[in-house]
Amino acid sequence: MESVMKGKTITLSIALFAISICAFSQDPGQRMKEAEELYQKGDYFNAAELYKSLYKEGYRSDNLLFNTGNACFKAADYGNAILYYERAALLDPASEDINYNLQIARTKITDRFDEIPELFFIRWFDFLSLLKSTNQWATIAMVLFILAMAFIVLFLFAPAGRYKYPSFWSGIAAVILSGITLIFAIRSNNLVNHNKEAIVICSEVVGKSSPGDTGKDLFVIHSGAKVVVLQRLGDFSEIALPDGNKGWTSAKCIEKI
Amino acid sequence: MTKKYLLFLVSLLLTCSVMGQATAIEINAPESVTAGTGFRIVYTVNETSGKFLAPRFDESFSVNGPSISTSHSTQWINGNMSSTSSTTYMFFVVAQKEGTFTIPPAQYAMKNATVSSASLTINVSNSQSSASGGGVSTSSGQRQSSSGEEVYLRFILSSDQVYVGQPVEVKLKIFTRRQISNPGTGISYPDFKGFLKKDIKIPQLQSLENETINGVQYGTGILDKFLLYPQMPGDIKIDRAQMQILVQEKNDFDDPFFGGSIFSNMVNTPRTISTLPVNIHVKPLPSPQPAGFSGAVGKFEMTSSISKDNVQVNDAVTYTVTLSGSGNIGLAGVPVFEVPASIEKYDPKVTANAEGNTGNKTYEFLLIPRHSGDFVIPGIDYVCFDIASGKYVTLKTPSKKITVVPGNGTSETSQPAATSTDKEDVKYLGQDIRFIKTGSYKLAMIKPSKVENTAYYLTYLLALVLTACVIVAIRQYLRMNSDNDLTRNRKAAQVAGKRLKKAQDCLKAKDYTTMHEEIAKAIWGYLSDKLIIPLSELTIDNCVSVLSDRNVPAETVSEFKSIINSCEYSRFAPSSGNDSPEEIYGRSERLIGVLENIL
Repeated sequence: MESVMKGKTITLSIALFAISICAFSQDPGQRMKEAEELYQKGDYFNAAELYKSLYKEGYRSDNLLFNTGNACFKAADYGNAILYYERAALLDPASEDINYNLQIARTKITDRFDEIPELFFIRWFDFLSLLKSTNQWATIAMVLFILAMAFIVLFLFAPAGRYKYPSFWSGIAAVILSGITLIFAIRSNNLVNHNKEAIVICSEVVGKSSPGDTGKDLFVIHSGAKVVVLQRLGDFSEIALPDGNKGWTSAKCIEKI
Repeated sequence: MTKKYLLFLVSLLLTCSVMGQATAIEINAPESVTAGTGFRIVYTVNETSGKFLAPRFDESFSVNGPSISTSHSTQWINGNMSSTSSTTYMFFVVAQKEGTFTIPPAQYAMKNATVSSASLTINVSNSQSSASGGGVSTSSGQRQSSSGEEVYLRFILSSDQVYVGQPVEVKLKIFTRRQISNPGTGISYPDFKGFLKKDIKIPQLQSLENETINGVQYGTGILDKFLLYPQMPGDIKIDRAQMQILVQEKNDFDDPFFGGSIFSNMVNTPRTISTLPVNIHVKPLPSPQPAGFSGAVGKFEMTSSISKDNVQVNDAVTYTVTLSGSGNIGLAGVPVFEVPASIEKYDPKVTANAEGNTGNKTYEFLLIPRHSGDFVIPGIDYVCFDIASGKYVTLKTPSKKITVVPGNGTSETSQPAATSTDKEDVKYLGQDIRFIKTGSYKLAMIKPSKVENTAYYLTYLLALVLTACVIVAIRQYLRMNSDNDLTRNRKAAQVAGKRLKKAQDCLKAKDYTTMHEEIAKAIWGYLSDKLIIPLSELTIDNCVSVLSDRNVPAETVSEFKSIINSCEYSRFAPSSGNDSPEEIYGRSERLIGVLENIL
């Protein structure tokens, strides 16, 4: 009797699981629409949850991240709003809307750090490398490299005359461009996929002098603050504040961009 | 009094006639009492002539009395008269300590005999209400002297469990069993720390009301009344309030016959009476407080009205908001609402009409529309704390519409919208984030990064290797080709020699046409091999330019030209040869020899 019951329970749970999977993995476009409707109705919390679930399943789009940030913002979750705006800005650094909303969200947070702006050429370099995705840059680099090889062959065997020198200089230029685009690809990859910067998403986080609860409290930061993650040890991360102070915090409370 | 006295005499006479009846003392007393609470012990004797000897009460009892009353009844039944009479001695006792006490027998002494009552056991249990915070406690304070419990003050609280801001109505009440004079003057209150006190006017105390507390009759009256608004959470103690009072006291003159009250000598003595300290438990308002909480605690209603809904530009409109109900209405905050930017809002005129903790409060906002149009004054959301449910509630008023029509000519100048050349800066009313991106956009799945993939770099290597292979292959091919040329170059003279040999044979056979052909072939073939020019591209001009490039002397080049020309001529016009075939053959031989030396 009991085994029958157990069997039934298992079947039931499998069926439920299947249903939930079906419900969950429905067409992402449809869920996007649903989240949009929730947002327009003013149910910001659930809209944000739906958007976040899409993100967590691996869907990426600057608009998706922008909308996620907006929903979090309207649900007064400024930490997550900044997190998603920052992520969106990595996918589309030139978007004026994303940067505007990010600025507004930053006015809502508690902590104020005097952030030292990066050198202009690093800023430009990062901006350029984010204009295209890392894989686009990588493809461009590859095409340019193959082109450069072709130019070199042409240069080596073309009879002296019209093609000799143009193909030489084109080959050199293609090699240099290929190298630059490869650097862009690597930089873009580092910024998007291996960003060391993280945003505090808990409302308050205490920075301690050592990982664990025994450490001395060094500082308190609040949601939305941007920190740099230096290393991770178990459930604790060592973070550096924009002003250079370092401390250990719970890894659950910060999320990498 | 005289009536009572007469009656007493009559009863004396009557008792004589019923002397045969046995005398006994009955006791009426509770078995168990609470410490600090008054109770009665009543001894009833069915005799009136003797003397009652009160028992010795334990020292921890405070005893008042006895008060004495006598009763007689006479019956005539079928001509037989039966008469009974009894005396009742009533003691008011307050047990001060807990424990079990035995009261010894009371005795009744008559002319010829003495009767005793039974002894009495009373169980005094611990007092439960003696120090309870509730001001309603009417128990006599244990610490007070026996005379203190005859006259005392108490705070009567409407509630002793309140929220911050919830008003507590406090009455100062006097309890007395004595005649008192000048009550209600000279009250000294403690400082109500942690409270905001608001007095309520009540009429002067005229007469005391009778009230029985634990079987004891008191004259009571309310001396003062006020509201306390707690300002902070916690257990807050209110200290004693004191009052000077004149109490009529008798000189103790124990008249066992008539009780104390008849012939006692009354004296007014000043006395200080005080209340017991009471505790009020002030609960904090639940956290978190919602945004826009007005500070109002209680039960409220809110209504709003507008004086006109159709006005001219610059005409004032009064927007009235009325808050009514019970609670800390005097401390309730001003309702907040936003008006359209074209309407000017002024600070409200506040009229409070609150008696005690109920009443209403009116806020009159003056609104002046500065532009014409249809405007909506949004409703007010007023958050207050409802004590009954222990929750925050939001009072809502509906939004109001105003239609503003352009004023007549006089007010035109202050209405810059239509005709005036004055321009206004764009008004920025607020800041918000930009709206979400709607419509369908492409959602891409996250892809593995190419730059982290070794295959990507292997592709580079592959491209390099391929290029290298291509280069090597082309090199090889070219080398092979150049090897061919070299052989031909080397064997050029030999090949030309063979052709010339044939030409010589033809010369001997006098076949001049074939000879010229052979000579031309020999020279062209030689140049083709020597200069590595394909036969198809071979022309005289071509050869001349290449030969000049290779520093061949001009006379040799012209010699080459003239031989070729001669050969061509003689091939097509054999008879008109200006040079003999032998000469041409000889010159060809020499030319090839010269070229062989140079090239």
